[in-house]
Amino acid sequence: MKYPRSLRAATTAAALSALALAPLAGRAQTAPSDDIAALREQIHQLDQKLRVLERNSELKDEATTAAAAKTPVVNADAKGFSLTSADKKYSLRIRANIQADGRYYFEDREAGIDTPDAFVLRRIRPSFEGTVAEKYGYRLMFDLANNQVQLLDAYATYKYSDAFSALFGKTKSPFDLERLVSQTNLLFIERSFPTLLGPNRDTGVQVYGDFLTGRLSYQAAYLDGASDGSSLETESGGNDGKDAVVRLFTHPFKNDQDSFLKGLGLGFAYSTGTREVGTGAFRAYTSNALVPFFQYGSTVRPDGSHDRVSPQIYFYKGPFGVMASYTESIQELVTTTVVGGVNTITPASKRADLTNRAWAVNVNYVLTGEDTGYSTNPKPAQDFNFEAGTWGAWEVAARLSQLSVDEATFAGAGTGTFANRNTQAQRIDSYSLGVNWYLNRNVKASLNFEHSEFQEADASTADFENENAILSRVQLSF
Amino acid sequence: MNFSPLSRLAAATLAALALAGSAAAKSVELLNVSYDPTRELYVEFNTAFAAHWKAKTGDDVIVKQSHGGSGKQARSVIDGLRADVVTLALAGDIDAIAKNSEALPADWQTRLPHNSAPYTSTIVFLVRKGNPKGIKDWDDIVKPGVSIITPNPKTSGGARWNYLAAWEFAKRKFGSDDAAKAFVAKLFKNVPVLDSGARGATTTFVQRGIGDVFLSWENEAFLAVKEFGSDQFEIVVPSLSILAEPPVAVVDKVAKRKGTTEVAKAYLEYLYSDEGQDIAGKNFYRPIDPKFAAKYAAQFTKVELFTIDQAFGGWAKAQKEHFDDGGTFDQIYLKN
Repeated sequence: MKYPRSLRAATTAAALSALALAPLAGRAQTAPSDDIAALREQIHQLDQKLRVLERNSELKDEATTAAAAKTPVVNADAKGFSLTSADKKYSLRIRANIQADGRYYFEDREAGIDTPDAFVLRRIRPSFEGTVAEKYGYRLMFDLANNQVQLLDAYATYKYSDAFSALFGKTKSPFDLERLVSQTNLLFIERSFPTLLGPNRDTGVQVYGDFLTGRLSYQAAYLDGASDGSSLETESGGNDGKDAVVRLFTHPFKNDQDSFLKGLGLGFAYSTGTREVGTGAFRAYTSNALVPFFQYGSTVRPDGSHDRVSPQIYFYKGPFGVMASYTESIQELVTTTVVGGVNTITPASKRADLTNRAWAVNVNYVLTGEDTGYSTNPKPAQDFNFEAGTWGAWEVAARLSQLSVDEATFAGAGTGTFANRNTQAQRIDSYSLGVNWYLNRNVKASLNFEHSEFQEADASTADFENENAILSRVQLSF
Repeated sequence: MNFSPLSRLAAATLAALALAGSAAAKSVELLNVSYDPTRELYVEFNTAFAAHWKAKTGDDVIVKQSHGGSGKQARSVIDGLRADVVTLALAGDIDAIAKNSEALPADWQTRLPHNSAPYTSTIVFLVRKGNPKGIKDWDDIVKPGVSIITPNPKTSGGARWNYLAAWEFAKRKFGSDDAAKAFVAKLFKNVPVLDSGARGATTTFVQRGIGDVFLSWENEAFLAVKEFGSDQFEIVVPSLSILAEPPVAVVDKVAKRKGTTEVAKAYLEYLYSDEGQDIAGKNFYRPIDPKFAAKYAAQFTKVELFTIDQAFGGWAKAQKEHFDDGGTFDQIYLKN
């Protein structure tokens, strides 16, 4: 407890007043000088006691402040649970994301194929991230959905400066614009078609940084290599080929506070790599409602170069946003024969360079006026509170997207060289509408309507029906 | 091999830059972790050393200071404070650094002259002007009604020198360790505030106006009189006091990692130079150089001094017996 110096001053003043009045009070009887000396001594003792109390209080405060400077800081807030050393050089942050989805399909693309309506746990992802010795970072993220444990991210980072950092380990390949959006901040429940042509997660080394006061960002990676839409571990068998990925992104008006185009970002990504026969089968291309519409033949394998390009752009201003990207994936494919359980190139194998293309344009608007941005959710000005009559933040979105498979995929004798033209669609055009309700910073509910139309390949006997689906999601993240 | 003009120009430019880099003056930073009352000493000394080093090598040296209770400072270095040099109140604290962090060798004290103590000091009494409580010696301060200011021996080197000086006085006067323990117990009964370091204790006595007598480093007492005036305070020299030998050492592990070993050594060696000894004397430390000891002899009162080796068998023994957890200070203070 701090004793104000005014208390000491007041007490001393009162005592001195008593001393001053003593001669007046004692006119009838003179006070001996010994009594005055004793009184003075008492005042001195009292004064000393108060000073001691003040000083001890001061020292206690100093000790508390010194202890606080060494005490780690524990935080629990909308961004998760964290523990940080007093000097901020060491930290651990625990986060998690749970997504519970519902899928309802109005019509099925092909007669006789019934895509079941379903409730699923789409993602259950705890993550651990932080810093060590100030300049080194780490992250581990698992996915526990689908009754299995997957290690999605496992990497260490070193930050030399804003212009140069390095990452070692497994994480998202720095290629696709929408892939790089965190799964907690997606505008639609499922990412769209350009993501199907880009790599997912991969293992290797990445360098990245910002220049020109943050107006130009770069990412460059040398990775083990991943097929379209896949992560490394979906490929089986050895593959000596590696992927190199480069992405440049600029925000030319970022630092211009008055510019209308402050929220403009545009960039370009390029990847090149080689693949070898022996890697696993290709992942199917799926609609935005996760229904497969295209799959290469079971004996088709990559063999040779695999290049991708992707111009990317977005613009955000206040509650309005638009994001678009285009991706081309060009790779050498070959048909194989299974010999002794191994896919083998034979003299009968057919080979081709095939180019698949995809694009998507998203537009969103936050009805309640909060700001939107790339890979960020709007922060509700007022959290949802039924009793208080506040409703969180509401957002509407629309998307046009398309993916087209190289026509040459379906050419050739029989039902097609690299894919069956009678069962696999050559192109999908999707129209999406979405509503997102942000109850607070941690809870989000989404509803999407997906309409997809399919185009058959030339000479196909198929006649694919349109697909209509409603997707829903409740997400909790911190 | 024929290189293009552009290649030759690039090579020449790179070579010029490399030469320019090596010719440019270096700037070196040292951290001196010191005990509490040496602030004024090292402000003056650091300026002098920087000028000396610049003249000698052309390089700039910036010395950053950290001050606090000697024991507390030693613990900070053990916990990772990257001190290039330590200039602490007593050898036991630097021994603790050597033992707990292995950042310097156990025989560090032999590396510089005079047991690595470039100056000495002792413990005196600082009293209010007029000496109202009539304090002349150690047994006056343990009387009832006398309020004593001394820092905490668990954190302050000066406080440990105070404690041991009082102990030895009592042991000589009353004839036994038990009597000395009782004497020191009475002393601490009269202590109302325990600061963590000597400078904090000076603040308590001089600026907060608490206490009748301050058991002070000799240099600290002189500084207080100089700053606040001889009309405020007086120095009383007891009949017996302890020879305090505050030692200095390079923290090898840190200096090696930072590449400052050469400068750190030169920094401490400069304390033994004429200029270093003169600065020590000016700041009321007792120079060990006979020439400067003689120059500043008049400012110090003659007093019978004993050493820690003579009375207590050295710092390691004294620290263990008196100041480690469960030692005599804990027994006295917790009982009080």
